[in-house]
Amino acid sequence: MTHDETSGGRMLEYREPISHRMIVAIGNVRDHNAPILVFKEAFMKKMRYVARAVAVLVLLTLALPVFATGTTEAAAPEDVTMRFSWWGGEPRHEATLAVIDLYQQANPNITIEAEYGGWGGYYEKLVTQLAGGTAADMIQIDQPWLWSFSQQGNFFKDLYDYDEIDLSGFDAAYLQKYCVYNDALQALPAGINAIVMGMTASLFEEMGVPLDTEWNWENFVEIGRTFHETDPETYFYYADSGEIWHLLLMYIQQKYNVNYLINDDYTIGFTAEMIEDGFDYLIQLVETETMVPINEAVTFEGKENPRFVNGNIGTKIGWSSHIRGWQDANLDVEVGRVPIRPGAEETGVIVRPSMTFGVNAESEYDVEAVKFIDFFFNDEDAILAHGMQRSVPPTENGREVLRAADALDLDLLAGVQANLAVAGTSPNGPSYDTELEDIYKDLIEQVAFQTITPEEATQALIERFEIRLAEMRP
Amino acid sequence: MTSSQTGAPRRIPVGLLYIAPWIIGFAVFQLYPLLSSLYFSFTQYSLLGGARFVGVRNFVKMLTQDVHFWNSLRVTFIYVGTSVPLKLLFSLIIAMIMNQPLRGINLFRTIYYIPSILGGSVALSILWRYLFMQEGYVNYVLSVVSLGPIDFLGSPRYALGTLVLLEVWQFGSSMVIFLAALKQVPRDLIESATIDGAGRIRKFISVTLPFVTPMIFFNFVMQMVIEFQNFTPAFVITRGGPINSTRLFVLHIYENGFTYSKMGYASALSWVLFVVLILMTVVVFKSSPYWTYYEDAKEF
Repeated sequence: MTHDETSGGRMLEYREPISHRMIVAIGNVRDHNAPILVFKEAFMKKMRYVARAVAVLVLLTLALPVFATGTTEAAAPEDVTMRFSWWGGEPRHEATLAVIDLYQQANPNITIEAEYGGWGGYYEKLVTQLAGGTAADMIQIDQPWLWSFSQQGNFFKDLYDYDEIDLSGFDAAYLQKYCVYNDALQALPAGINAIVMGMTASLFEEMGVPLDTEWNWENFVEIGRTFHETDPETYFYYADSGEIWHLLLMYIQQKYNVNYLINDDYTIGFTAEMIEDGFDYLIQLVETETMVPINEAVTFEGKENPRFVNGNIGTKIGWSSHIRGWQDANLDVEVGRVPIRPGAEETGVIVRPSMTFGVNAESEYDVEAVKFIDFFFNDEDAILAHGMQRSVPPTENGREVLRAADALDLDLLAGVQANLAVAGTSPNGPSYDTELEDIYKDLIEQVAFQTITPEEATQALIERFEIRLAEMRP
Repeated sequence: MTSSQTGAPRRIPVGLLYIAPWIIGFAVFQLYPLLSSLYFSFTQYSLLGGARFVGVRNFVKMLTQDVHFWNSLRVTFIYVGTSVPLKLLFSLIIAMIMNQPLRGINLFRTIYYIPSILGGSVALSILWRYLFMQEGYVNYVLSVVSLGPIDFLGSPRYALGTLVLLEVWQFGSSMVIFLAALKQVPRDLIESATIDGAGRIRKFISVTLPFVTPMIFFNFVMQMVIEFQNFTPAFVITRGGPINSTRLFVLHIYENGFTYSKMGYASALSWVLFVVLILMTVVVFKSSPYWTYYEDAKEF
């Protein structure tokens, strides 16, 4: 190569090693190639000025972001942009967006940015957002989380402080029981949920089982096992590890008349004997093939199982707010009462807000946010647009409006009321801890996969619970 | 490097200015979080509640009370121990095939390279789940040849294999590197080996392979470091899998940090992973003189 950049276009007589040339170019070293060097010196001096200019330019570009301030929220005092985050399925998204549209039409200066997605990961995201101060203005919060949030600070505005919202439609005791923590109304319930038993009507008919059967723990297995025995494609009961746990809890609470899994003083409310009995019942469900095999349930945790979509599942026991998902999958689902042991005093049937709406404590537009929430619950058009996407409306007014418009799903309502009638004690805050949840889900899976015995599982549960509870104690 | 009187003092500041963007980026986005996490690993930090100093309690807890710690470590080692060698083996074999000057060979190279660009993304992981579920396409193909459905994702035995397969499928980037290595094997050495009567296998083992070993070393270290920290497939496809059989270590860190809100403990776990990775890398580096061959080295 004879044409060389560092010499500015002059030809070199011989090919110097690269290292030598770099030293000369940067270090201005004196060597024996004097004539070339003279030219190089002059050239390099010029280059240094250029270099310095470039360096300054680079620094300036770095510094620019410091000068750029974020766009101010409101150009004029009236224009408001708020964020609203929730989780759900498609139908719920559409209904909620419809309500937002209505509000934006009525209030042209207000823009509501919708942030929505699925259930998976919502909690982790919300916690991170609250910690980082980036949460939305209006937030959908699952009721069990309110307790643990309130333990660590006040992250939501006290809705009792605002005149802009009409709370008369809500049952005051209901609010007090589920949404008031630290003497503040942290959030408003968006719907009334109960644990219900959803049944695929067509499959029940096929198997000759009446839909109004009064279920208890014995016939649940006796009748249940016949489903798979008659038609191997079908199973009576489908549940993932979380739902299995709730089933076993009801079983234990009804049999032994215990109110709380975790007592308020962070001790375990159940004895080892009770827990082992619960695991034994699980083994029964597995061995009689009353329940869908665990390996299948595990694959589809939270997602749709094709067997379910094809109508080959007899029943799921879970939240009434999920029944809509069945209906959207074109399954004719009937809602009934969960298994109850005859004569049980404590039923363990959980009734609580399906989810709640709270206003971020750090929101600039808390008044506007409260107004929107008021619109959501009390405006007739909003109620009609939303329907029962978050289960039974929590306000008397809401239920009336839907009933008048014939939009109230009477079957679902009847189902919820049937279980409301046998409602048990609500779980307390500590029972909802996420790490405890992971512990029992893990052990249920191990028992269902039959890698450990119920006895071993009981021991492991108690041990691991104790460790976690020790951490939780203040 | 000799320096003249006038030049030296002015050069260093200029040089620093040039690399300032990188230094600032490094300090803010890498060094500061690194040191913070070291501090947090000695605290109890529940994200919303603030950090509380607790000394080495997290590390003690890790070894004595965490039921998932040893399992996660074991699962991760198995995962890396199978996916990395398999990946390298595939890349090398396919690279050798791709090394031939056939027509349309570039098309094939592109096709095999594409999976590694798509990466272990969420979309790909969801696709993988649909492929391997009970009624998925893989089982469909297997049923056509009457091999019966295999429960890939729901069985503690096979779930990890599915994840390994996803990694091995992305061998394209390693393949390209091996291809480059194969191309710089000196032709004259191969020719002289042929003249001396060496068979194809002999030629490969004694002539080609030694020249490729530096790349094997590079790929091995790179892939090992990446695979140890792999998260997305385990999270999306199986979320820790049937009975924690796919609970990779980073997933364990995530569950502790975000699901249980124990950021201090998660930081401690991260540092343990860091140390483990450094040890593994040092081991590989120390062993490398025994099996890698560099052209300018004095002996093999």
